[in-house]
Parts: sequence; structure tokens; C-alpha cells
Amino acid sequence: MNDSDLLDAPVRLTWDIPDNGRGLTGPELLTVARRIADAQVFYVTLEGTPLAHAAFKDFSGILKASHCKIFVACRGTSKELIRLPQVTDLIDQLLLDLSGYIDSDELDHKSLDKMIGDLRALDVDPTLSLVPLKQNLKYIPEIISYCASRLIPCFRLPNADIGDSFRKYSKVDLPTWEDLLGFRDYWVGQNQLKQQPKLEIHDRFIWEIMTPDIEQSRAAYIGCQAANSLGHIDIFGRIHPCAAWPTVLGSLLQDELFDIWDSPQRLRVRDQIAATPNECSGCDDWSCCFGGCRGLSISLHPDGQGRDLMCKGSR
Amino acid sequence: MKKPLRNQEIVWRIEKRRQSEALDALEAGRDVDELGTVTLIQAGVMHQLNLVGGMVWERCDGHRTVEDIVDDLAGEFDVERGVLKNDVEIFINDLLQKGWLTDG
Repeated sequence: MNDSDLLDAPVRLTWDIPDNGRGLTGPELLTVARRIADAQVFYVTLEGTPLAHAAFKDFSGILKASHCKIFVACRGTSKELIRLPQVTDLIDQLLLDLSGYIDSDELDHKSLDKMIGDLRALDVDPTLSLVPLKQNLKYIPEIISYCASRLIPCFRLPNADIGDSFRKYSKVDLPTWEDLLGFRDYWVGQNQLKQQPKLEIHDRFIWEIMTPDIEQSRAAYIGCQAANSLGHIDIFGRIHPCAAWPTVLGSLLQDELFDIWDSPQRLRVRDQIAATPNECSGCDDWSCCFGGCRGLSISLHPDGQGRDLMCKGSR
Repeated sequence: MKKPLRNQEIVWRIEKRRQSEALDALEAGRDVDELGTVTLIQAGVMHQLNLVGGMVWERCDGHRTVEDIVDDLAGEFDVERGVLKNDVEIFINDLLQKGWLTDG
């Protein structure tokens, strides 16, 4: 155990739920939901296409009964929209995935306007969500302007979930430090936006670029929270340290979340995070970033000695 | 200060394994001030309270007075009541100032 290992169970979970027919059966989904509820997890983000699953109301109902806040990814398909009116009371935040609205090198305002209108007609005010990839960084300022003009309250930039069991990004999709340098210059040039939505930015380095004035909240950053306050459940009910970390810590079909969080496998990950990777050794900025996204780093450098792909080195 | 009440916007839970470890450590005479036993999230930021802070927090339900809380804890800890009361009042005042508690 090390100093950054603080919790009996994660505080935030992402859980991948595909359409019916893949992954867990309905009863298995309920088992997983009960184990999340028993562990008193505060926030669960249901990813994939959870709204398209016939058991959505059942597993979400179990989470909701435990006072868990539920964030739900949505791609805007007709199957999802048909179910939505029956379950809006279970959803704390709907995350509209923008990847389907970037087409032919532009943000499709018309389709997005229609979708947001449809959602608002159901009394759902969506958060827009985009996994920052090499090819879509350039759209971020435009999306923020779009949010401001349509009074979208929040724009979310989660990390790529390469540890996911069914939706993977390749290394060529992931932004590198060179891409981030370009993005920083572009962002500074574009960043005359007076009105901004609330930004939820997972990556430490993108966060620094996009919110240069928020030093106070950055001071509270204590490093990678994978396998401590964060965890990720794949479509088979297996739990990972986070959505970007491929190691399996255990199965929620077999064990309670508390027991998995008390297991040697989980503690090994925390020890791995506490150790400084060789590529970060001696870096003056270690105490600012603690190695950034360790899950992505380990996915790309399985020996655990690499630095975050988005870090150039000592700054 | 009447009956302190937890801010309902704050989500929190007891870390039961940590709490048990802290109680064992306390029994063994070790310092437990740095061991977090209650986790809470306020404005998106995670915080932890230590054993004594967590036990006070648990009891800030809007029904108990500070005297009630001190009476409860006096049975749990081998400490002079005046010292305990002073510590509890300082802690509660700090949380009232932060907006984590209201005066119920």
C-alpha cells in the first residue's frame, strides 16, 4: 500500500454497455449493478450504447436507488431516442457523443442542432462529449463556440478508452506531444471566446492548455487515480484500473467490488503508479503531472517505463 | 451553533476498511491523524476526513447538538472531555466556514 492508495472502492466508474446481444446477459448486468451499488460508488458513466439495451431501466434503477449519479453516453440513434422518454428520471447527465457529428472534415451543425432540439423536446439538456484524438483536436474551439451559441452547459473531453474490450483506438489516433504543441498554438489563436461552457477535461496536458488560469484546482491534483478513485468495467463485467488501462483486476460477476479493491492485483497497480517511470526520472515537473495518464502510457509501453504520449519531456 | 447539518450537495461515504484499520491502529497506540476514513466530494474535488473528523461528520445530521456529538465521541476515545469538546468545535466551525455544514 502507498500514500496515494486511499479508498475501499472507486468513487467514479465507467461501465461499457453495448447493445443487446453482446457482453453480459440481463441478469448478469443486474449483478454488476448491485455490486456497484453495494460499494457506494458516487458516479457511474455508462458508455457504449447503454440506452439501446433492453435492461437499461433495470440496471440503472439499481444504481439510482443507491443514490449514485448516472451519466449516460448517447450517440443519438433512433433506438436510443425511443427508450429515452421512459428513463429520463434515471439519468443525471446525458453525454452526446460528437464523433458521429464530425463528417467530411467539418462539424455538422445542422444534424447536431436537430439532435439537440430533439433531446430538449424530451426535457434533456445534453452535455457534449468528444474523445480528443489526433484528427479532431482542431474542432475543439469550434465546438466550444457552438456550445456557447446553443447554451450547452458543459463540454466533456474524456480520455481515449484503449483498454476497452470492444472499441479501441490505435496509436495513430492518439494525440502526441507534437500534436498538442500544434493544438496549443491553435487554441491560443482561437481563444477569444468570452462565453464558455463548463469544461470537463480528463487529460492533464490538454487541461493545462485549455484552462491556463485554473492553478488552484490544479494544485489539488494528486496524480493518476486509476485503481483508486477510478475504475472501468468492460462489456464482460471485468474491472480495470481505468478505461485506458488494459489490466483486468477481477470480475464483478464473481467477486464484490470491495474484495477486488482489497486484492493484491489492485494494490500492484497502485504501486506501479507510485513508482516513477524511467522516462520521467529527474523531471522537474513530476510534482505537477505525476506522469500524466499512466494507463495510456502503460498501454503503449508495457514495461511501465514510458511517459505520457502527450508529454514532450521536462517543461 | 445549534445542530450542525451536512451540506446535502456533498456526496460522501465511510471507508469501512480504512475505518477499521484506523481503529485497530488507535487501539495499538499509533497516530491515526493522517488516515482518511470518510471520503467526500465537494464541487468535484475529492477530500478525506480522518477518524475523528469522519466520526464528527457522520453525526452532523441536523438532529444532534454539538454537546450530543461530544457525548457520543467521549465514549469512543480516551481523552479529556474539555479537550475533545474544543477539538470538535474547532472542526465544526471550520466546516461551517467552508460551507460543508450548515447550522441546522
